Amino acid sequence: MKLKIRDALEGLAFSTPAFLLLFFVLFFPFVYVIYISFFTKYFGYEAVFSGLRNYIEIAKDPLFYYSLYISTLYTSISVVLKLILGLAFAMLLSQEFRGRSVVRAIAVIPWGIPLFVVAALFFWFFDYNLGLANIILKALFGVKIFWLGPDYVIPSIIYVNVWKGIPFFMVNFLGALQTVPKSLYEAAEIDGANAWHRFRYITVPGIKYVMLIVCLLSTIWTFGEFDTIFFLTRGGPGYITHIIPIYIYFQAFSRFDIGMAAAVSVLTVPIFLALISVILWALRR
Amino acid sequence: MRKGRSAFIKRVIIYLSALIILVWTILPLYWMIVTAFRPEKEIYEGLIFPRQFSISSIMAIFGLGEEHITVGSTLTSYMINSIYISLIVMAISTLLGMLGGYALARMRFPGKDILSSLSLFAYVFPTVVIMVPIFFIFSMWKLVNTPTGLILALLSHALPYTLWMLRGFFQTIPLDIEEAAFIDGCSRLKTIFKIVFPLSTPGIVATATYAFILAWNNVLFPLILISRTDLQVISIGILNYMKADFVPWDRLMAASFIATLPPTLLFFAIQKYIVAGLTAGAVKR
Amino acid sequence: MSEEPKKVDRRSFLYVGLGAVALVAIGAAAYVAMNPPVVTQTVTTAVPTTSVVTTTTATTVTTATTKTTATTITTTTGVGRPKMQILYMSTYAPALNDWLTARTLEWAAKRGVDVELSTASYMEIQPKILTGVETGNPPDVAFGAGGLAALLAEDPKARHLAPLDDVYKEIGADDVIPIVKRWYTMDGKPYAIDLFLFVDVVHLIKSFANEVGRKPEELVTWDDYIEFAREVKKRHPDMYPIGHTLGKCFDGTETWYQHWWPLGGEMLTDRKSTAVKFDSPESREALQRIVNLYNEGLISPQMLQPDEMLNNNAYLTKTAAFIIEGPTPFYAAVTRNPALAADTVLLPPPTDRKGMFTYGSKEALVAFSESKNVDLAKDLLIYIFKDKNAYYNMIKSGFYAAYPIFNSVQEKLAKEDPVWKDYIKVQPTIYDYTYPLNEPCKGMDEVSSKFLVADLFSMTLIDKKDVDTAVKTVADQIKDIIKRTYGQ
Repeated sequence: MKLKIRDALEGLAFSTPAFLLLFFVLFFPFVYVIYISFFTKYFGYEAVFSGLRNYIEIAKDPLFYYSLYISTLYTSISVVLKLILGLAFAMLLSQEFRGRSVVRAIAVIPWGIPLFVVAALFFWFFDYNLGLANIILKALFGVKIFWLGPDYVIPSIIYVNVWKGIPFFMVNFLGALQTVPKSLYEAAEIDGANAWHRFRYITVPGIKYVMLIVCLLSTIWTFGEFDTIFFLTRGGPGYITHIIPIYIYFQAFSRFDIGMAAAVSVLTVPIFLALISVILWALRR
Repeated sequence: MRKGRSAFIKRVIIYLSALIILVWTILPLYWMIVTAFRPEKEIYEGLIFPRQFSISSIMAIFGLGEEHITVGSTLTSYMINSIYISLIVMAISTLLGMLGGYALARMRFPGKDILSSLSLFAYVFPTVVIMVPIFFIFSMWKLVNTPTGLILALLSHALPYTLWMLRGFFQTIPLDIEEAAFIDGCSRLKTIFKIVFPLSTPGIVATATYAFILAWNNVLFPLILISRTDLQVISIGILNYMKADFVPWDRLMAASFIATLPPTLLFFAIQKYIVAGLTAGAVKR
Repeated sequence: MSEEPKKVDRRSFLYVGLGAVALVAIGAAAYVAMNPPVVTQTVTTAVPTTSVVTTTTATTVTTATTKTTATTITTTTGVGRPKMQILYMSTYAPALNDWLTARTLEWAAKRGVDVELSTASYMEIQPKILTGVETGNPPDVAFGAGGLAALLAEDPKARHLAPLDDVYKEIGADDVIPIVKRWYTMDGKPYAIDLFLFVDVVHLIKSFANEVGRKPEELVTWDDYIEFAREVKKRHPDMYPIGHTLGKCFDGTETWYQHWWPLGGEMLTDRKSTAVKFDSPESREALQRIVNLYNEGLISPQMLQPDEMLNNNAYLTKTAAFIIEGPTPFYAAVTRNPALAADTVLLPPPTDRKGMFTYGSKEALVAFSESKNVDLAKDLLIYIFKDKNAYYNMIKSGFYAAYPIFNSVQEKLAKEDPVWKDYIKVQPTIYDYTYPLNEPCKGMDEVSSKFLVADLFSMTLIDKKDVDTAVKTVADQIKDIIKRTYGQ
């Protein structure tokens, strides 16, 4: 008995500092935001309890639905592209060829670069007059386009997210691919299976688990990503790239409507919770 | 004969794909580096290949050049702030993470499973949800525009990572070693500090470095908590360059280059541990 | 087993070493963070001593050369001195900011005050000030609060600014131009003072005018300018001659006023939602005209981005034939691209059936009533304005970008420089976003800081809504804000 209590005390002593801190800077704010969302607070006026008013306002706001839509669109397309390209890169890099380690090292670079640098980088890359993207485009096709203008801004931000995000997928897939026994491939080849069959019935099931985790993590992180879009477009032109994190930011710091911003924050929680529980469930298997 | 030909085609495809990966990755980076190391006038000529090498931009952003810069817009103070704040966040999150991580990995105490799930939850959840309450709460506690406030906010992001990663690393230390030490007469605490921690040094160093990188790269908290230029960090410093008069592209790229060196280099140093920590740490049960 | 202890020893040594380093690092860093050391701040700024002459008449063009002398101001911070937090907006004319900073530090040195000077960009200054006030932590003095003066002081129950009547008296209230006093007087007292104004004028690139055979003096009405733009477009099909910003930012709203006011557009005549005159045929006309210009290819699609520098850059890279802005782009040309400055002529804004109107961007200094240093703040303000010679030098260092608020300074400039003479004439047509009310209006400060009128452009040009719907939507939003603010 004494040992058990001592164990418990030890465990609590070790874990308390970390979790106490987390309580104040993470868990408490997380719960507090729900409380704030029931108040109305404009600039210069006192906070007034208003019940579900903020939620009703949000339900009536077309910009909210648009933000949800564009967030979902941006996230899903980005993740799918990262998945496909990440897998393709990984499969290529699991082949033997000369210079493989160099290519691998270079391909991982975007992962190490901070998001704000990526954003500044592409802000320049996509500049209409002097950016490299248009210089190349003009040289090859004789046109220049407004990469961050109303017509092309969505593909552009997806491009940026994919450029930065592929290495994460690639590196995880590389590891996963190595766990698939080569003997399976050899046996299948002898049995007459072609490349596509081998991919579909051996590779995919072999890495299914990693694929699932990586996709889910990336989905959560891409959905909640603020930095690049804020730097590149600030939600513009107009409201085209007004993803949910930017919607929250502008509610709080431009319209100074903290109550509304809190309410939107609360509404995003179920989405993330759903995605996280899938991860947790997958982990238990 | 057929086999020889298809092998040749396969080789061609591999090298072609490798080339594509290289170009895809390097193109934007090339542009950043070229712009950072060019004399300012050359940028407006719109040539892809540089003619002259010059470090005038890099000097300018540190206020060392000939050009006159408005007070407060040199990079030096931003870099210094980023360095010491990231160091503090690294230290605190690693220390608390070591204690808490070990508790979650190896100790038995009531509430352990809940805390484990909570830390996974905190690790995966995007910070955008607590953006509003952190701002609100920190204003109440007068932590806005203080280094302490920024550090605490950054910890809410870094500590879940260090907890989870260190938990994973500690779990890879075979129980036998701990048990052997115990049998040899070491007390619990002695085992932890003299055996487990030293054995996990690579993992601890990697985790600490990653925490540093996280703090360095963060944009959201400096954006909403700090408005005084003398306290601002480099991630927002770059944003200021982008929103200044007449975007000085050469200086923006020079600043981006400098700002990206620490996190990118550090990231590459600890790369393999990150992959192990992020997903495999969860996989290894 | 004999191997293990060695490994452990080396590792633990390494670990202890790292730990020690880390602890020292944290300790030092924490110490620095908590105890700002005594710092001697030396600022070397360039204070212009030679006058600038850039005459841009059709016959002779001489470009500016300024001789600047560097003055070094050393201030020492320490314990026991009053401490002030000052937040200044950085304008697009660094010389003006330099002057303001130098003057502030000079004052601080003379008075023995510690000053923590922060800067914020155009886009950040309003949110930063508002955030400061919201959290009970405003700075002691702020620059760039022109568009917030009413928001912060109109309601006597929620008045965050200190009245500046004594400051005005000290610096000569009669010398201050009337519009400034009108913009900031509430309950009989002024609550802000503009350091200068940024008054919108046309920056016309002469070589484009010459190319199509037009004399700049001939361009007077909007029809003239539009025709001119079309001619330029014929010669340069790739070009977007009219450098109008249409994004959700200050410049975007200015584009609206530049067309809407001369057509007869009016915002509100009284502080009532029923007095909001936005939903009018003139609004539809103005919006339709801008939409047409865009669809004709005279305005670049890039201009829809929420970016204050878009029109500046269009002018500086000669991708537009003219822009309409307070002359900070001209300042940038003089300092970075003198050839372009020589090729530029500054003209009064285009007129239309209701005459000439020009947008005056307010660049105000305020002192906050919640500050513990209100008297010091006022003292600083007096110091900034009192020496009219120093003020005159600042205006000169801005190359027409800064519009002086003193009659005496205006007269002096008009005597020396024909360009200033013409520029001064524009004064009676300067208005702000409350026109025709032209009085402090909290509700309108809010409308302006949210850039609501710029939504007209994104609604019609991006969302493809029709002009009617766009005007009605924005009109309703404005009415809502006015109603919520004043209760009627």
